[in-house]
Amino acid sequence: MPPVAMSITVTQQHGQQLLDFSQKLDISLLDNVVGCLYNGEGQSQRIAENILTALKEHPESWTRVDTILEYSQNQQTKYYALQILENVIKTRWKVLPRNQCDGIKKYIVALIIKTSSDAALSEKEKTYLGKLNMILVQILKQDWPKNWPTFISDIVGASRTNESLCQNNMVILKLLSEEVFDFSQDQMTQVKAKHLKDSMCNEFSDIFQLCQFVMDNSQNAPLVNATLSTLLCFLNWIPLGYIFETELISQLIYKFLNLPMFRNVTLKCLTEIAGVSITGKYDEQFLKLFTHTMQQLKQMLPPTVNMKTAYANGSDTEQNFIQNLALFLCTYLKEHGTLVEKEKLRSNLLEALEYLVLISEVEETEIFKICLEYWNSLSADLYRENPFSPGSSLPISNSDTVVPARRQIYLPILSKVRLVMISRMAKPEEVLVVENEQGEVVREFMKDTDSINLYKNMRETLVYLTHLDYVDTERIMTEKIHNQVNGTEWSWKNLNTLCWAIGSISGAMHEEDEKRFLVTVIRDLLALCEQKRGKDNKAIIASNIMYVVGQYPRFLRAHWRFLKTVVNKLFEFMHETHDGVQDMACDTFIKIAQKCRRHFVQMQAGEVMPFIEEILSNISTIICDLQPQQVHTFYEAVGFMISAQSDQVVQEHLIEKYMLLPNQVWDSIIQKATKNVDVLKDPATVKQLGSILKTNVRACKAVGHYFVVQLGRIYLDMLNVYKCLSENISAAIMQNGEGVMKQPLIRSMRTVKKETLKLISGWVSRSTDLEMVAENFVPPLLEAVLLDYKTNVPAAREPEVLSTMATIVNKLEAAITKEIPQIFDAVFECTLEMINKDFEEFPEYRTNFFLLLQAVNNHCFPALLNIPQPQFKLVLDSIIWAFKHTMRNVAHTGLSILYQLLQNITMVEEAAQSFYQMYFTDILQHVFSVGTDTSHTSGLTMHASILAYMFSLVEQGKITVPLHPEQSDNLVFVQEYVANLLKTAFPHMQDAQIKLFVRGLFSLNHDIALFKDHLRDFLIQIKEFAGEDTTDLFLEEREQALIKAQEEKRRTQMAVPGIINPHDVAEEMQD
Amino acid sequence: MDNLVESLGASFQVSKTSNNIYANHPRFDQYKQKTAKSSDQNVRREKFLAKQKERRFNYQSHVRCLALDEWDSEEDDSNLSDSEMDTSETVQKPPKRYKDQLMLSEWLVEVPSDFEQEWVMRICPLGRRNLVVASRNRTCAYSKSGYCVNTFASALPGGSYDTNSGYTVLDCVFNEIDKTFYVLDVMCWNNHPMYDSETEFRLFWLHGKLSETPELAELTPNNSFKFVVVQNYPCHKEFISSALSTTDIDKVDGLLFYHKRTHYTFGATPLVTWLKVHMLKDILGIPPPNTKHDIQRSKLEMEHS
Repeated sequence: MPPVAMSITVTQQHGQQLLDFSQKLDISLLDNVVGCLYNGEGQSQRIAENILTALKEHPESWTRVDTILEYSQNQQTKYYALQILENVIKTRWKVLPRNQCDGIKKYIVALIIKTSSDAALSEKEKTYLGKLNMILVQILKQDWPKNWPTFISDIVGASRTNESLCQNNMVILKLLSEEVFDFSQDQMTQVKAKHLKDSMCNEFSDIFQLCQFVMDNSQNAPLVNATLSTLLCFLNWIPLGYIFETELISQLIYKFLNLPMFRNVTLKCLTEIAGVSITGKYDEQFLKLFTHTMQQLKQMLPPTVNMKTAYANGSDTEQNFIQNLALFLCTYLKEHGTLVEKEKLRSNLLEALEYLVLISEVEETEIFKICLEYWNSLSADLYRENPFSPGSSLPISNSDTVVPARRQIYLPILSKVRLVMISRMAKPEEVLVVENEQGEVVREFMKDTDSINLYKNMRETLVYLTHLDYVDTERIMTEKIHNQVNGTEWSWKNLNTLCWAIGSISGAMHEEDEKRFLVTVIRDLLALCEQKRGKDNKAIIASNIMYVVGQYPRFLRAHWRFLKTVVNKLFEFMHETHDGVQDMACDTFIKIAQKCRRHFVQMQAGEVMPFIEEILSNISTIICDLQPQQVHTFYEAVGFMISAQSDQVVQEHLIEKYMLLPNQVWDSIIQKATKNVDVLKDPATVKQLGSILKTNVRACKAVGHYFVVQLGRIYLDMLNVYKCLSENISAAIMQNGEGVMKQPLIRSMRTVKKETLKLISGWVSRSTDLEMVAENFVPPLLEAVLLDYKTNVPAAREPEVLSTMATIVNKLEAAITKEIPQIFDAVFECTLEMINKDFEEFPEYRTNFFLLLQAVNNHCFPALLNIPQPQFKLVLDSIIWAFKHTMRNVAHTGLSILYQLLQNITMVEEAAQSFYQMYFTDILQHVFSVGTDTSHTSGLTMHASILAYMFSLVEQGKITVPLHPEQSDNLVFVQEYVANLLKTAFPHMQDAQIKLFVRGLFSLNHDIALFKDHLRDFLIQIKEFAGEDTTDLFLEEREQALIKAQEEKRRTQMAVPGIINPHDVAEEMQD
Repeated sequence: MDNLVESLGASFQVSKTSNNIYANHPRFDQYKQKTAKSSDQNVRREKFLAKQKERRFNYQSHVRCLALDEWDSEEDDSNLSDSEMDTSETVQKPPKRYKDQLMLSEWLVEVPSDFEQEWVMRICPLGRRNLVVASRNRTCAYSKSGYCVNTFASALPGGSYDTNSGYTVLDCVFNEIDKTFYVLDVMCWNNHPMYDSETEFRLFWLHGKLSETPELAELTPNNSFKFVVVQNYPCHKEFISSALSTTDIDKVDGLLFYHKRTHYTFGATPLVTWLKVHMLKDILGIPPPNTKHDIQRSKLEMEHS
């Protein structure tokens, strides 16, 4: 023991010694400590780490960097020193004396020159050199061009002296380009970024000449490679003249493209050029770019090459080449495809498209996605040009349809693309089997994963392709089905893929054609099913048949006898014990029920009663072999049908019959419980109750408001059961502690409580008769639930109580105002008590609590005003608490509540003034504190809106009471207050900066966008000193832009028949 | 289109079953069944009876698997038997795991000539068909597809802490409202497998054992659900009529007819057949008991036929 302890104390002493800047630095000691960090272990390693962190953060530490770099024998120590330096440059550069800065700069430059001039050394010290380069770029970002106007000519000049040095300089130029053009928007204020870009463009000719010189003359392969990579980086911003008015393009194609060692980077450069979006001026060059590249490519890759195998067996670089080729072709054709459609260039175009078809067969999803994007835009483009399908069976267009000229060029290729799409159609949706909180296994449909996006894009493309030539789509699909039947392509995977493809084009053909096509498809699939042996095979085929059928609701609606037979067959499958068949049957049934609901309640030709009657008569037999969650799905499906019955009397009769089975069980339990309440402690009974309520929840979801007849029937009993079970749970927790919550019985009891609340809020949100809700349903609910919530132990409270209250408030709005005190009295303090200790515990309660508060604030504001002062303070505190959360949804709710509250209070003049007097500055302070906190950047828009609103209140003199007793002018006071606040929080900011910022807060508060930019620039200034990452500041804009683009897209899509999946189309538009 | 509807309705199946009781009864069906085999129900019965003598399985070990939930690891076995299952002519091997353990019926299509002598009738109540396995102090109910629906205590041998010796396997219909398992058949009672016993003996044994154990008919903490045996009647018209006249038809799912010589086999068999009450008149010439509900339904079926 003693020796170890000694070595630790020694290390700590070492630390003190190293941090004492009055002494000379002991380099070997530092080397030891660094060595200990990398090679030591246990406590001494931790101490070493602490010392080094402390040293790095010491404001003087950078003064030691040169000594370390010069004398240290340890590479890791040098690296550490460079980290110190980088830190200083990023955050404190502006505060260092100028001569110090110049010193550092010269030192680093000298070091780089020394290290990189020797090819062997620079290869050996690659990482070290990389770090030095990075530091130089950091200096440049601060100093160039103002304090270092000659940088570009310096580096270009130096490069001509030595090839190794030149190679490293290329790397530096590349880094600089990336920093300025690619990453700038998150890390520099807008003004600064623009300035740097301009400087770089202005001085680009020197750089370009250097690159040109290397490409013309150098035989040094690594140097040429570095130059090409640097050039690649420049291509997306340099003035176009350098690209199109020089020999650059032909040099790339003829000198470098065919050399294996340069072909990947060269192809990337060409892709970058191909992506330049400009028409007219440089068409000639773009044409050359294409024809010459194609010419070279044909020598490298014979058009007969099997791309799929070549990729599968290829090396990394070969695989990259195929990917780069896909990128080049797609980029070029997307931007300039029309240029090469001219007659004399057409052979080149077709060859390029052939390559692309071959690449589309490569079994690598990322590469396929590249091709898909192009095929999608091409087919959409060709379709939009002339949205009427040729050869449609409409008599008018049948006689002499003329295929548009442009489309004719692509016809043979498009047929191959169709085959590709059909052969590799992605999976439409994923079903996950997961366990929920109550320990029940449930199935969930995954939405929006990568593979679903792939499906959507493929589906869209195939729909366009079908519009372009539906006969060809039909031909390929029919042929592929035959290949399933004759066995040449038979496999489960192929069959699934084919049926997903068939299901994907629902609605794209004219109805009559679709019918003819479907009849053939289903007939062939049925024959296939009969032909194959073994239940596994038959089950796969059966689910594919049902998938296809379910995708074509229009067909089902038009053929009642077929629809009825399908549904009866599904009922038959609900008794099939082979794995997955029952699930498939239930999923298909609900899909069909939703889309064809009306047809089941109508009297159909040749029937004696609506089909729904038959279903209800046989319901016990139909569901007798289903598992509980399948039964719930079944009930939801039937509920959709019942919801389509518009005659209310008939509908009530249907609902009664529909709920007969669960009601019988319910009644018998209630009857027994009335005699002996202990029945509600019997596990089997509690489980039954949970299942019955789940059935009700799903049924209500489908039936909607008119489910009220059923809800009313069980309502009061249900609330009594709720109370009773809640008491049971509380008693169990009191007796045995919270561990008891994990017991199956307690979990099923909670399920009953949760489902009860779910049923009520589900119905309330769908109800159309608010008076009935308020008068008949709310009072008993509050009576049963609120007191129970308040008096229960926290663990036994259900967060759904809060969300149910929020639902009711949102639905009933002002009508519920008078009940708010009662609701708040029961839930407010006790919930706040649960969540005000930290920001994480009880997340569901947290979310729901603030949603409730938001609902009340939005709809029942007078109720908030009437709360006594101390409680109101509590409300406001809780709002402030909400927006301090890093849980994004909670913080966002908090901010919206505050914003709304501020607006609401303005309407009530009297209350407003005392509100301002009491809370205005407080609120201001808290909003600034989150607004300037990096973990809250996602709320920037809301912060800006709230602050802008508050400042405009002051500016417009809406605040008539003095906010401060000694300053009668509120405007002056707030200015001083904010300036002071910021000065205290960010002492490194200069007075001028703060003054400017505060002035902006007032002058820009009429325009949220400008106000926000202003706020953001201020944030960057704060961080520049603090050295924190500013990456997230533009996050929100990007999200917004994406959402907007998405909406735009959907709007244009709605006009194309079949482009939206029948199951994504809103209900009103169907059936 | 009509052809399509017909082939979809009739021959489209996953498990190949003749006279599937969840499809329409062939006599009442609007589409003609294409499979020739299903029409010779009598011939298939004879084959089944003959094969039953040839095939012998080790039921003792099968019952142990069920009771202890410990199965032989030869998973592939199920695939092998898969192709056999296609032809419903063979007697199936005991399946692994809890699915497909029950003996299921076909529609009664052809009334056999020895119907009155060689068959017994049962009135099957509404409910869910369950396999009930009592072992190791608890009782589990499984659906046809092997899903464990419920676990509870019962007074069956092996089914609770009070009756913890041995194991028992029953074929039941569970009615949720009555909290009752209506016992159709017994496959094992207190370790003694009954699979290769004939119907008459199994039912005799079942009646005897259940009457020896009256606690099964009561709800107690050790018997969460009632167990009640389903009565059997001779297949004479008058017995059938009188049995029905004393039963609440609204609680009846249908009538089961068991061949007296059949063993307990797995899956659908022509030796157990099924009719809905309203079909009695057309198939057996027995006038239906009068209920509003049924008349309506019968009318519907007639119009379809």
